[in-house]
Amino acid sequence: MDSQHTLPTILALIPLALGIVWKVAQISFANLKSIGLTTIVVLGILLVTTVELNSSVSFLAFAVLLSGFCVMLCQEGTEQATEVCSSSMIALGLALGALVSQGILSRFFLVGLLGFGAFSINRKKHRTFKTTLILIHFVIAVVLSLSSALGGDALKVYAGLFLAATFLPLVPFHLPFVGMIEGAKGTLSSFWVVVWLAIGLAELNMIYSSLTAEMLFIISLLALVSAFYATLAALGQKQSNLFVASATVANVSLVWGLLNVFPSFPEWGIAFGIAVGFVLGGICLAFSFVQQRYGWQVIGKLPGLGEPMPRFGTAMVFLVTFALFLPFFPAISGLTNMPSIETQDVNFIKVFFMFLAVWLGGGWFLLQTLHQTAFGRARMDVFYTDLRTTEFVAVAVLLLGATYSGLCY
Amino acid sequence: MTIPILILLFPLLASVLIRVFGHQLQSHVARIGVIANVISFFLAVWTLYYVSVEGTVHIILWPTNPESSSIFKIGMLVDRLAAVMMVLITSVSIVIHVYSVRYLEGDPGYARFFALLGFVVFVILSIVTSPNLLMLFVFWQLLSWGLYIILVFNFSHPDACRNGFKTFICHRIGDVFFLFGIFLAYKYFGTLEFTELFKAAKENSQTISLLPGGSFNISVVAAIALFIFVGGIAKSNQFPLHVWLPDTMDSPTPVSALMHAGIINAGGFLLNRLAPFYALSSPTLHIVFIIGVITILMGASMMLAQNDIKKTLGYSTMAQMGYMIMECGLGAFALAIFHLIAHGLFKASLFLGAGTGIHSSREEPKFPNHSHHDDEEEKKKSSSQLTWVTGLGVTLMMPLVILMVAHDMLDIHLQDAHGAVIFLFFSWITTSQVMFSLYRLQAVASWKVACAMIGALFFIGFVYLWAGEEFTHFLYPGPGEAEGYFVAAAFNPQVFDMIILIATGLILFGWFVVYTDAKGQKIFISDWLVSVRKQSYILLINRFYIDLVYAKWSANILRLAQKVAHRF
Repeated sequence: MDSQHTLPTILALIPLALGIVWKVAQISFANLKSIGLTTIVVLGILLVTTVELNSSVSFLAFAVLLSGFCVMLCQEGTEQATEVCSSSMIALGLALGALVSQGILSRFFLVGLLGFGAFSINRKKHRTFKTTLILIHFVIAVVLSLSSALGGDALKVYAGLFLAATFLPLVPFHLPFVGMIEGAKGTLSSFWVVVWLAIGLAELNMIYSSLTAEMLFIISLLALVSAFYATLAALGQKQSNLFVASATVANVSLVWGLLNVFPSFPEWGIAFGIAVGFVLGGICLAFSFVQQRYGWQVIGKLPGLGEPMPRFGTAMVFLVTFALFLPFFPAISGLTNMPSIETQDVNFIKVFFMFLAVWLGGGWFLLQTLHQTAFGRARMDVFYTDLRTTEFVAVAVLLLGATYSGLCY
Repeated sequence: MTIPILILLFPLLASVLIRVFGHQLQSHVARIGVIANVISFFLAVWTLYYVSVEGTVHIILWPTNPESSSIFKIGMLVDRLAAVMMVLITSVSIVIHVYSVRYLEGDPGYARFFALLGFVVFVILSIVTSPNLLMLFVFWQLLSWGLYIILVFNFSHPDACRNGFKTFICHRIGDVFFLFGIFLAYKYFGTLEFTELFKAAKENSQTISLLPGGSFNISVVAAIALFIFVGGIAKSNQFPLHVWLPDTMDSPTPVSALMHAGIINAGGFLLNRLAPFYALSSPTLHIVFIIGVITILMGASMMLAQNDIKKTLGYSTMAQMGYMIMECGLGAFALAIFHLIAHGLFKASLFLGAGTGIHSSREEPKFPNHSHHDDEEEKKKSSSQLTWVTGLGVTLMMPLVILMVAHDMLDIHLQDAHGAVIFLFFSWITTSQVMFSLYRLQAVASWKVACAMIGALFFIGFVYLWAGEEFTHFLYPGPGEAEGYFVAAAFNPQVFDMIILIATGLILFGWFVVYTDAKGQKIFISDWLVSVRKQSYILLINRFYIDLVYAKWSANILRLAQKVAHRF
C-alpha cells in the first residue's frame, strides 16, 4: 500500500487514539484542551500538505475538523467538558477516517462511527420503542456498510442510498440522526450535526451518478414529504436539540428534492449541505451554552436573552439571519447548472412546494425561536451571564464557515 | 460613469461606520447618516439629469468579464425610472434622518437605528438599480429582512416583535412565489437580465403545464408574471397579503415614514421595471387591476372605522397602493410611478407630522370643544344650499371642463391618450370624494371659499394632467412605448363604460342623499338600514375578519405541528 492510501488512515487514527486515551486516563483539562486544539490544527495542515484528496472530500473533512475545533474551543474545565472532548475526538477520528480513507478501511471507520452512535443511544436509561427502532436501523446500516464494500454495483448503490438517507437525514430514515442529536451531551450535539451531514453528503456524492431517473423521482417525492413533515415538527418542537434536528432534516430535504432538477450535485449540494450543518450546528451550540448556564432545554422558558446577554443575542440574530437565507444558496448555485428548457414542469411544481415548506416554514420556525429566546422581555428572577469570548468566537467561526461554504465555495 | 455606484455606497458606508464605531461617534452618528444621504441625493439628481440627456447607464461590477455566462451578475441599470426612484428615495431618506435626530435622542439604540436606516436605504437603492431579476430578488430578500429588523428595533417590546414577525411572514409568502417565477423565467428564457429577458419573452409564446398530463396549460409569460406579481402583492400590502401594514405602527415614527414612503412602493416599482414583460400578457394585467381594486375598496373602507391617526394613515396607504397597482393593471405604468412619488412625499410628511398631532391632542384634552350650541350651528350650516350646489357642480362639471380645455389648450388627443382618460377618471372620483368630505366638515360656507376651492381644484387638475402626460413621455420615451402598455391592458370598452356608469350613478346618488338629508327628508332610515350600518362598522373594525381567519389557520397549523413534533 502506498503512502497516499495509508497516510489518511493514520491521520484519522490520531484523534481516535487520543479520544480513547482521554476516556480512560486522568489528564488535566487545560492540557487536554490544548492538545485537542493543536491536534485538529495539525491535522488540517497535514491534510492540505501531504494528502491528495478529491476537492469535495477535503472540503467535507475540513468542515468536520472546523466543527470539532469550535466544540473544543468553547469548553470550560468541567467534568462534562472532559467527556465531551474525548467523545468529540473519537467521533472526529471516525468521521475523518470514513471520509478520507479508501475502500474497506473507509467502511470500517463508518461502521465504527455507527457503532459509537448506537452505543451512545443504548446508554439511555429508558429504552423505548423508538430507541429499539433506531438500534435496528443502526444494525442494518452496519450490515449494508460492510456489504457495500464487498458486494456488486447494484448493492453498492442501494446500500449507499440507505446510508446517505441515514446520515443526510431523509424521512423516514431520520430517526438515528434525531436520536443522536437528542441524546448528545452539551455542545457535542452541534458537532454531530456537522459530522452526520458531512458523511451523508460524501455517501450521496459516491452514488449520485448511478441514480436512475425513477429513483430520483421517488427520492424527490420522499423529499417533499420530508420537507413538510420536518418543517411541521420544527414548528411544534419545544426541546432545543430536537428543534435543531427537525430544522436540519427540513433544510436537508432540499438537497434530496433538488437532485432531479439541478444537475452537478457536488457543485451545489455539498456546499449547501455543509452550510446547513454549520448554521444549525451554530444554533445548537448557542442553545447548549444557555442550557449549561441555566439548565434550559425548553424553548420559550427563558425569553428576552438579547438584553441581558448581548453577545448571545447578536449570535442568535446572525445565525437565524443566515439560516433564513439558506434555501437561497442551492437555488442560485443550482440555477447556474440547470439545463434551461429540458427540465420538466412537473418537477418544478415539486420544487415550488419544497420551497414553500422549507423557505416559508423555515422563516416561521426560525423567527419563532428567535422571538422565544433572544427577543421579548427577560425574566427578572434569573442571574444572567453573557457568553464568554471563546464561546462567542466558536459560534462566529461556524458562521464564517457557513458563509464560506454557502457563498464562496 | 461610475457616479451611480457612489449613490449606493454612501448610505452603506455610513451604515457600516455607524454600526462599527457607533459608541465612539456618539452625537456624530446622525450627522454621518445625514451627510451621506445628502451627498447621495445630489448625486442622484445629477444622475437623473445625465440619464435624461445621455440615456441609460449600464454598469457591470461582477463578473469582470462582460461576456461571462454566469447567471448571477452584479451591476447597475440606471435608466430614467431608476434615476427618478433614486432621487425620491434619497430625498425622503434625508428628511427621515433629520427627523430621527430628535425623535430618538437618548434612546440606547440610537446608533443601531441609524445604522439600520442607512442599510435599508442602501437596499432600496440597490433594488431600483438592479439590472437583472436575480440581483433584484437578492435585495428584495434583504429588504424583507431589513424591514423586519428595523420593525423589531425595540426588541423587548412584545407587540413590536409580533408585528415584525407577521410582516416578515407575509413577505416570505410573496418571496417564495417570486423565486418560483425566477426559476420559470430562467428555464424558459435562459436569462434573467432585464433587456434580454424582455426580448426573449417577446419571441417565445410557449405554454406551461402546471399539472401532470398537460391538464392545466397557461402561457409562460402569464405564469411568470403572476408568480412575480405575488412578490409585489406582499411588499405593497395588496389583498390578500394586506394584513401586515396596519399593525406596524408600534415601530418608531421615522420607520413608518420610510415604510410608507419608500419600502411599500417596491411592488409598484417591480411592475414598472417589468412593464415590457407584463405588457405581453393582458390577462395578467387584468388580474393586477382586480387585485388593485379590491385593495382600494378594502383599504378605504377599513380606514373609515379607525380612530387612531397612525392606523388611519396606514389604511390610507393601503388604498393608495391599491390605486398604484390598479394603474399598473390599466397599463398606466408611468402614472403609477407619478402617483408613487406624490404619495411617498405627502405620506412621509403626514407620518412625521402625526406625532405632533397626537402630542397636541394630549395637551388639549377638551379639544375639540363641542356643545349643544354647536349642534344647532351645524344643522344650520349643513342645510346650506351653497355647499350642495358647489359640490354637485364641481363633481359633475369638472371632468367635462378639464376634458375640453385639455383637448384644446394642452393639445392632448384624448383618443390616443389613454393615460389622460384614466387620470381624469381618477381625478373625478377623488374630487367627488373630497367634495363629500368638505361638505361633511361644512368647509364651503361662502361664495368666496367656493370659488377659491373650485379654482384650486381646476388648477391642480390641470397641473396634474400636464405633469402626468409629461412624466409618462419622460419615463417611457420610446415611440409608442407608453401607448403600447395601455393597449395591452385595454379592457373591453363596455367594461370601462360600465365602471364609469356605476361611478356616476354612485356619485349622483350620494348627492341626492345629501340633498334630501339637508332638506330634512331623510330617506332609507328604516331599521334594517341602521342595522346594516352597524354590521358594516363591525365588519370594518374587524378588518373583514381576514386577520382572524389567518390567525385561526396559524393556530391550526401550530396544533398540527405540535402533534407531528411529538412523533418526530
